[in-house]
Amino acid sequence: MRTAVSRFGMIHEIVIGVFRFRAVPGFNRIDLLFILLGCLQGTRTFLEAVETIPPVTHLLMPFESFLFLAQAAEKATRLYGWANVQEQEGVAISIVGLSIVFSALVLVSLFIAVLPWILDKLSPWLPHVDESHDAPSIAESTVDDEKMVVAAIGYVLHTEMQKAMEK
Amino acid sequence: MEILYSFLDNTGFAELTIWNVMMMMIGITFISLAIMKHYEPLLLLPIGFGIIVGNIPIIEGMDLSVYGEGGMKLLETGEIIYEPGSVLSYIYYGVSQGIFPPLIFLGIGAMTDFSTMMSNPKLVLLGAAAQVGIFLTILAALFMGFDGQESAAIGIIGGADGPTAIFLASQLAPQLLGAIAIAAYSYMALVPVIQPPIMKLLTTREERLIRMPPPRRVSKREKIIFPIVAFLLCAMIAPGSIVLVGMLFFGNLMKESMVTDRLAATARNAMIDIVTILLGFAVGASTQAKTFLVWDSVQIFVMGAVAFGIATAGGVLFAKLMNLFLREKINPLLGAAGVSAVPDSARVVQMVGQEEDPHNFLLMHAMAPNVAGVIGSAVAAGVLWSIL
Repeated sequence: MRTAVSRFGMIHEIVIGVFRFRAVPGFNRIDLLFILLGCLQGTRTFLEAVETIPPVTHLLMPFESFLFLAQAAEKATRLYGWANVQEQEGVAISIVGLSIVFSALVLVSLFIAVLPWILDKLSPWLPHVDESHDAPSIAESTVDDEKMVVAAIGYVLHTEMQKAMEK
Repeated sequence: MEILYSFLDNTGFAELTIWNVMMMMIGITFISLAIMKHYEPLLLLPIGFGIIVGNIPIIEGMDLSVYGEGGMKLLETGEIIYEPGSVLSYIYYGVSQGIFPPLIFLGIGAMTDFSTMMSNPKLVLLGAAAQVGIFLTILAALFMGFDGQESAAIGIIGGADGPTAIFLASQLAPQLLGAIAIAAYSYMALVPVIQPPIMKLLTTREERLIRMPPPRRVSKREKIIFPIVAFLLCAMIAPGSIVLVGMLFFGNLMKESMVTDRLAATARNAMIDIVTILLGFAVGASTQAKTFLVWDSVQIFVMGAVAFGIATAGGVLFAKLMNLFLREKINPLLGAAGVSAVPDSARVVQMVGQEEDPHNFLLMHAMAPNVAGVIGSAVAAGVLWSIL
């Protein structure tokens, strides 16, 4: 397993980058070459180098040129294999990340487990409300309720019919 | 005649490449899977059609794609003008800026019932264990040469949560967003195919026959207090997760409080449907052949499958580990539902369990690790976002 792209590979990427780059006023291929050589020597990252370009030139430079150069520089310095895992602190990120996720869910789990006990202790101040989440169903209405509703409907119908007859 | 030639030059046929055709075939495959196999149709259909739309060749000087963002343009006369972006780019803005995923989480929260999880808090740990798929895949991605941010965005596919994967990819590795989104949703659609062999391989028949006790009744007060306190716990531990977890629990509080029924109903019906349409279509349209058909995409698809497999295995093996210490054993199949593909992985658990015992009903119990997995993957995304 290779640990890094060869220096030849980097130079190849840079040459392609320089040739495909479209020069703009205030920033030509020579300027670009210096930037990429700086990246190659490891004195600065590509992003740091781009920040040295005047903002006006940023505006004029075609976006695709930036994109291509960023990709070329990124590929040129990309690490592979265990070297990359170490470089990016992959093992530490994985262990810490998984631990944090576990901690969060363990706490949530513990909270759920003790919640009934807490609510029991708080019951004098937090009264128990046990309501259905859905609208009350028809089955929940009592027989007396139904009789009253029928009586009310009958009364309204009767008065409306009387009014109509009086007219 | 020149007008005709000029017209022909500007048609899609003139610029069409074999790669565009290949992508369109992938789009048609997605649509076919959605219609004929009913694999995640709400997602695969918009994504599939989006892929077809995104691969219509772009006419010179008229960028209609999601990447046609407009901006300052230098004319030959030396004049600098502002050019507006394409309509699709404005729809894609919701994806690229991570706006749509939290809105989907709001809808998910408003439709999720946490009571099965609250009735058996042990099962929450299965949702945490399944997140091992995310973190082992990060190592695999680093090994293959991706940088830390790209690896995290690829690893989150193991969470089996499409909106979370899109959210993290948009924040950490927007250049891989299309491939990650397509991989995540493809594998979510293939949960019934990927998970059963792993579940059967890692469990014995006796384990698959274990029946779960009926869940206890959860009071209304518990359901109302849970989203508030669970949000505080998750957000304090992983502040990066407040966007996703916050929206999830806010949606759930709207549902459980019963005083905002209209808002909850809108969030879980109309709003989530609208956002799903826009998200699916925009993600599909972002998969242009020249950016999608690259070696990185192939690697992402391979690692996505590995991530799903590891997540499933992680949940099942952790359930078996828990059984070593528990008097009342849990069915290890439930561990597979720890991946947060809601509710497909819970359905798979039910299906595999009933193959052994048709009278064993695991679906309700499987929803516990399933919704815990949603919380777990959102927290994992928040952790990775803040670390990287």
